[in-house]
Amino acid sequence: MDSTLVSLESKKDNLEVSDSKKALFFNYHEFCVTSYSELGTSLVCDHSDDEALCITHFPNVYVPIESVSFKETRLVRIPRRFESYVDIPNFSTQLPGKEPAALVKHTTNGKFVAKGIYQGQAFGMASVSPLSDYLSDSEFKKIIETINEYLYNGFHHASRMDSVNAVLDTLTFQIWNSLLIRATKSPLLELEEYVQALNKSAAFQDKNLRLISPKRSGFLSVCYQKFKDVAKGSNGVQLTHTNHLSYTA
Amino acid sequence: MSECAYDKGHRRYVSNRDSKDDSGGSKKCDQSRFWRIVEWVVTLDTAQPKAVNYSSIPRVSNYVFFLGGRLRTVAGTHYLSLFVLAAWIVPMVLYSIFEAQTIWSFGHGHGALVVMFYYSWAICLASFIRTAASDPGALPRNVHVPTVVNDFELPQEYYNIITLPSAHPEGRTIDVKYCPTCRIWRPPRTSHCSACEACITTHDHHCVWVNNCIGQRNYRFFIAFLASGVVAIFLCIISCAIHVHKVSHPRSATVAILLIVYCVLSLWYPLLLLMFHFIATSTQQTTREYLRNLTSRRAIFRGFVSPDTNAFDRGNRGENMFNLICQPRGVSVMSSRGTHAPGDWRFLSLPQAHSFEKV
Repeated sequence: MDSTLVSLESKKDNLEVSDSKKALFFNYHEFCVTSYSELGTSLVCDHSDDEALCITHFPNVYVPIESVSFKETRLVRIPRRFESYVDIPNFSTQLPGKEPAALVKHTTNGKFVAKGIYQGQAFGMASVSPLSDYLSDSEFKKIIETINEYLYNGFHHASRMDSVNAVLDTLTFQIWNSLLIRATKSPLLELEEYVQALNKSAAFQDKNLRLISPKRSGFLSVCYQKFKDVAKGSNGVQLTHTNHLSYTA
Repeated sequence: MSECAYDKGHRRYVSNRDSKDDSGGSKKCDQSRFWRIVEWVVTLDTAQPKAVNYSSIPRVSNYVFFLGGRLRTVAGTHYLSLFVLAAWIVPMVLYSIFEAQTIWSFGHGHGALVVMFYYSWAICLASFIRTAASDPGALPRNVHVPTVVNDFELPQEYYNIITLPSAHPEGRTIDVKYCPTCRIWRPPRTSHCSACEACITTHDHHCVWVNNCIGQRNYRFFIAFLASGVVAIFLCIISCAIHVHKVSHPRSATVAILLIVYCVLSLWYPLLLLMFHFIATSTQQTTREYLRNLTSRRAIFRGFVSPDTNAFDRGNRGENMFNLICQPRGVSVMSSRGTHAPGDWRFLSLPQAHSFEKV
């Protein structure tokens, strides 16, 4: 898909589409489906392109496919962007649905609004993901900017020092950098620690949210894992709310 | 989790073969120490999957591992890397037996020539091993699976090329593609190698001579391999020429003449390849990009110009060269010596990708 074409030809309304053929960023993980069931029904039927659902959350590929967690969790993927750096992993600091070429029709104050059921999951017609209900723009931006900073430090050329290390590495039979890695702490390892600390934080624990380490995805995307909301009943039996992330008709 | 329990759990998700009954499973758990050592020394795709990645990666790629995942090569090839290794060791052996002592005995700094030859030869060998047997930057599989129904079908949008804005000051765009084999959105410059069966970051090319891909994590080793090889060959030619020059009759330095002929013949390929890479990197192009941008085979020199669409071009040849050759290697995201839990999607062989329309 050429986002320039999409921007111009899409029947959806866009916030920042201009008449010029300028490429605009959007979340390339999302896709549209027209065959789905309406909320509250189980009958799957075809809809027009204008009524297509936008798939913004995905199966959790970080847990085994036959596990309970797989059935109870979904992923929201944050794509890589290239406006700041082309050769350093850098992720979108905008919540899904806020990108320049996002589908924004049928949104309510930037919140996720379910419109139909596709493969047992509720989806809306806009690019907004359920993550918008759990993180504010500023919270999200702060997290991703922190991740981007670690990645910048981990993948950026330190110019002269890099050249010196490359030469020393060659002259020492390619063992200099291996020793250097053990002697210094890599920013990418610090990123792992940041992700672990974030997942243990009260804010994430309360919201049943989990950030998947970017290293685990090969720095291809940042993934948020959302659990079902689980509460203890008065009789000690676990009650499960089916929220819009795991909505079943 | 014990290894036995792990094995059962892993096979439950990964293997397409019929699962064995319990008695068969217990037999596997009793795998003899001998076979465990054999599998540690050489890990093929027939190895029993364990928690360590090197035992599971061969099942989803063409990689074969040695010494507990410390070294790797690609299976199903002509193994020309062994030929290169032999072609590199043989002249050194001949040099050591027939030349080194003689040249050393000439004195007046000739000993330094011998030391420099051995040093550059050893750097070349080390760089060759790192190029051929290390991770070129393979990416994990199945990170971006969009749906699990209908045999993990792919939406039509995932077959398109996505054009996105880039940081280039002139507003050049970059293209992002989805790899239907690895099921990931590939960043720019990443491509799928059909020989390795993996997506490689900043993929330069698959080198048949080292039997490995040249990518972001081993490109500088590859350049060091070529450069130190050229230096070692030059030093060998010079020192052997001095030997020939010092003897009264050429018959007294037969091996030196043989080595000169051998070195002159074997010098050209690495020298031209090194020059090509210096020029290509100065125009901010990988080998793949250079070949893709060639309009015809006759116009090979026209390819040494950075295309107007290259969003990676920094506008300065030196900076471009430095940017590609000294690019940070990052971490190995599919580390062969790392571990994983049973049912890890990165090691699943999903069915052949198909779009919604093809169902």
